Amino acid sequence: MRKYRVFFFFALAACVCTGWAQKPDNPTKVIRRTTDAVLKTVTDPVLSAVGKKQERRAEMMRITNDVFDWPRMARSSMGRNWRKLDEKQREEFIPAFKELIMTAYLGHVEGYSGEKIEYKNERVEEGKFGEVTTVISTKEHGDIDIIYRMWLRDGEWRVRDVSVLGVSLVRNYRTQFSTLMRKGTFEEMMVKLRKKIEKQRVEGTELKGK
Amino acid sequence: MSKTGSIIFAIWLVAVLAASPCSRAQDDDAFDDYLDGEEEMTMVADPLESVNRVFYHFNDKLHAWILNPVAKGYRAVVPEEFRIATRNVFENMRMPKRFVNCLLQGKLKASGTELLRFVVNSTIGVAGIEDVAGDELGIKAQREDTGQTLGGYGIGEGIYITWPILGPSNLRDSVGFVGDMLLDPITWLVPNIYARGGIRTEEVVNGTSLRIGEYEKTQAAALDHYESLKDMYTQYRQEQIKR
Repeated sequence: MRKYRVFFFFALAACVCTGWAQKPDNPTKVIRRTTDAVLKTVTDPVLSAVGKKQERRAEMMRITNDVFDWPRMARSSMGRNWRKLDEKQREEFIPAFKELIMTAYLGHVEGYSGEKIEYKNERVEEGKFGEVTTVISTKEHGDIDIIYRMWLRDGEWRVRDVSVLGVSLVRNYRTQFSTLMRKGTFEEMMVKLRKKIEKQRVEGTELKGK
Repeated sequence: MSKTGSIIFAIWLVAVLAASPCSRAQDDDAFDDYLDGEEEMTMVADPLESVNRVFYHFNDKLHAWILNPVAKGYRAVVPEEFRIATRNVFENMRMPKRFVNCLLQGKLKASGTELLRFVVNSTIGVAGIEDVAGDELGIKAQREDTGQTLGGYGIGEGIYITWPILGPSNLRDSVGFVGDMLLDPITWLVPNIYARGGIRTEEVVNGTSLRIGEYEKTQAAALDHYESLKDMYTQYRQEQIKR
């Protein structure tokens, strides 16, 4: 039996190293922490002031940066076309995609005015795919379901897709990107993407009620 | 090696393999295959694309030049409470559509919920002005319609259609829309076509006034707004039918 102790030791050490050592927060905890932190910037008296948009957005970007798995989201949103892109094009695409989504997403968040957020459900499959369902109760539109699809990467739960009222963001962009890639080239698509980001940056809305 | 020994060795081997860098690439590939499956699911046939795009542009301008400015003016004049009350009254009147479609889908409990809501909101909620059932008792509306019933019976989307004025739809939901109109009391109670048109216009303007800026947000984030709307509509309906 003695010689197996060595094996046993290695097996245990390997298991510990691969994940049991740093047990990650559960998906709901990650979403709740991030949501709370982001909403704090919207309600913070200093950051929510008129003319503080740049600082506010920078802070929101900082909070969400590690929680959203940008390379994964960008890749999924390209779908099959991802394999057709070379390394340089991928490196060009990921940050642009991130910027487009963030500008739009932050615009939505900035419309927040104290609505109740409920963390309704959490599902974890195979230990590495997670789903957190949250419900926002609004006066105008009733309850809005928002589902965060997550996965465990490098020991942390990260968002790989967000779906609002059953509409997945990644899938929505995938249909757009595949149409644009079918009808034109990657370069033409990037020109459109940059124009859109620029336009949003100029026209971006201020906080609700300000 | 004894049996215990081989088991321990197997665990160790699996653990080491899981920790090795190649697992990430495998994950990605497996994940891409999974996503490719998802991609097939959401595709909707769009043979009328060129006509649909014309109507999309028509609707877009209709929204930007007429509906949105009118709704903004309406919002400026009519208090929010009144606009929400108006929406509630319309919602309450649409009970037959939801009730019948709950029944047709075999959702007995949901159809009971609809009846109960109608009774509570029509009495305590005063003709549906207040959604007492939803707000106070937590009995929420069951958003069923004929298109969802047809979908539940296994009828597919057919093709994507953009109707002038009405906007995104598909073949199945267009048939469903006719069913919904037949189940709408306004169709029967208001015989005069102009009066009916007036009521429906009011409903649309009122509804839009509660959603100012949302259409523009979908536009701001889209690279191809027509495709984006088409996909949003398709995903949204698929989700509703699944429920």
